[in-house]
Amino acid sequence: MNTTIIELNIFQFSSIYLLLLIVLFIMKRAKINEARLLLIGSLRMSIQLYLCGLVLTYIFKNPHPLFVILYLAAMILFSIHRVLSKNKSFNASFKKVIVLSIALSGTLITFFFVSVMIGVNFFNPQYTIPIAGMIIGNSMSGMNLALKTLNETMNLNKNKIESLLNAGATPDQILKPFLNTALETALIPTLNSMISMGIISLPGMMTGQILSGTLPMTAILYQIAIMIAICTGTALATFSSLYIGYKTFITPRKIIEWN
Amino acid sequence: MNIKTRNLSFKSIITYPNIDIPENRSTFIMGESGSGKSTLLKLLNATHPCETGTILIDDTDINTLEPIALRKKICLIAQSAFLFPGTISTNFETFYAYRNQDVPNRDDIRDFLTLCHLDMEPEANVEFLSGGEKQRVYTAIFVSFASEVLLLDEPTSALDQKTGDAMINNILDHQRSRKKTTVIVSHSASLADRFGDQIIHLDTPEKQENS
Repeated sequence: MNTTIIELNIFQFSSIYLLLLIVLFIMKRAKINEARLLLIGSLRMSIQLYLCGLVLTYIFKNPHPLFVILYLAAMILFSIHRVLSKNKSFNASFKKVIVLSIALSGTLITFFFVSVMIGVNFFNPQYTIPIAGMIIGNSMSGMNLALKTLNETMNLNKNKIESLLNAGATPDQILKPFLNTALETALIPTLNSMISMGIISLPGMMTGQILSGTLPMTAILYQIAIMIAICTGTALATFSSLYIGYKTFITPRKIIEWN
Repeated sequence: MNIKTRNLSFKSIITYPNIDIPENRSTFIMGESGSGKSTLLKLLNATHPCETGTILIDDTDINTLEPIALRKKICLIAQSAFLFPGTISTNFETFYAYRNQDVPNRDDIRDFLTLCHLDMEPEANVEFLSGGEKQRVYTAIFVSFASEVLLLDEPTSALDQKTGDAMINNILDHQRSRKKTTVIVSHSASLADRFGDQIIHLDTPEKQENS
C-alpha cells in the first residue's frame, strides 16, 4: 500500500469529464432542459476549486498567521452571506445576532479541535483551514434549516400568535415553542447521519485521509472528532442565534414582529 | 374602566373621530371594509402600537401602561378563531396556562359554552366542529377570562342570524350583570340597533377625503 496518494496527470484527470456526457445523455432522455446549468455548475466548480487549490498551495508554502485569519474570515463571511441571502425576511438586529453567532461558534470550536484536541498551533493552515471549513460549512446548513423552519412555522401560525397575545400571554411564552422546533430541525440531520456513519460507505473526511495514506485507525478518530465538532458547532450557532436573536422580535410594547 | 381616544390615527391611513367608550355599557363600532374597525380594537388592547394621537385608559396614557397586564384587562376576541388540537376542555386548560391562571371547572366551562349558544360537552374534540361552533368555543374561552373590558371583532360572522342574535344577547346580559364594558365591531345594523347602548360609525379613508 502506498503512503502518499497517486498524483493525477492532467490528461488522465480530464477523462473524468467524459462522465458528464452520461449525465447529459440522461438529462436529454428525461427531457430535463438544464444542460446550461450542468455546464455552468461543472465549470464554476472546476474554476473555483482550481483557484482554491492555488491559494492553499501558496499559503502552505508561505505559512503566516495572517493568511489563516484571512481565509477563516473569508469562509465565515461567505457562509454568513449564504445564510442571510436565504433568509432575507428577518429584521436587521436579528441578522447581526446571526452573524456574531456563526463567527464566534465556528472559531471557538475550530480552536478547541485544533489547539486543544490535536495540540497544534491554531495558525497551522494544513489543519485549521480544512477543519474550520467543515465546521463552518455544516453549521451554515443547520442554521439555514433552523431559520427557514422558524420563518415558515411563524408565518403559518399568525392566527395562533395573535390569539395568544390577545389572551395576555407573554411574547416569551409564545415564541419559545417555535424556537425549540427550529433548533430541532437543525440538529436532527446531523444526529441521524451519526447513526449510520461507518456502515457501508466511508464519510468524506475519512475517505480523503485514507486515500492520502493515513492509517485507518487514525482516520476514524479524526472522523468521530469532526462529527462531534460539527454537531456542537451547529448546536451552538443555532442556539445562540435563536435564543438571543428572538428578543429582536419583541417590540417595546410587547408586540411580536419578525418580518 | 373608561376608554377615550383623542386625535387617534393609524399610519396616516385611517383617522378616527374622538371616541368615548362608556363603562358598563355596550358600544357598537360600525363601518364599511377598510374603515379601521379591527385596527381600532387592536389599538385599544395594545397589539398595534399607538403612535399618533392618544388613547386614555382611566385617564392614563395607554403607552405608559404595561401591555401584558393591559391585555388581561382589555380582552380582544379576534374575528379568526384559533383552537389547539384536542377537546374543548384542553383548549380551556391551554389558554388558561398561558395566562398563568387556574382553569374553570367543568360545570363553569359548560355554562360558558351555553352562554355562547353552544350545546356541547367539554369533552368534545374540536377537530369535528364547524366554523361557527369553533368560533363559539373561542368566544366562550375569552368571555370566561372575565376581563373588565371585552372587545369582540365580528363575533357573529360565522353564525346564522338566529344563533348570532342569541349569543350576543347572552353575552351582553352577562356583561351588564357583572358591570363590565363591551365593545363590538359588527357590520349588522340590526344587531347594533337592538343591543347597542352606543353606536359609533367609522368612515373609510375615501369617504373622509370626500367629506
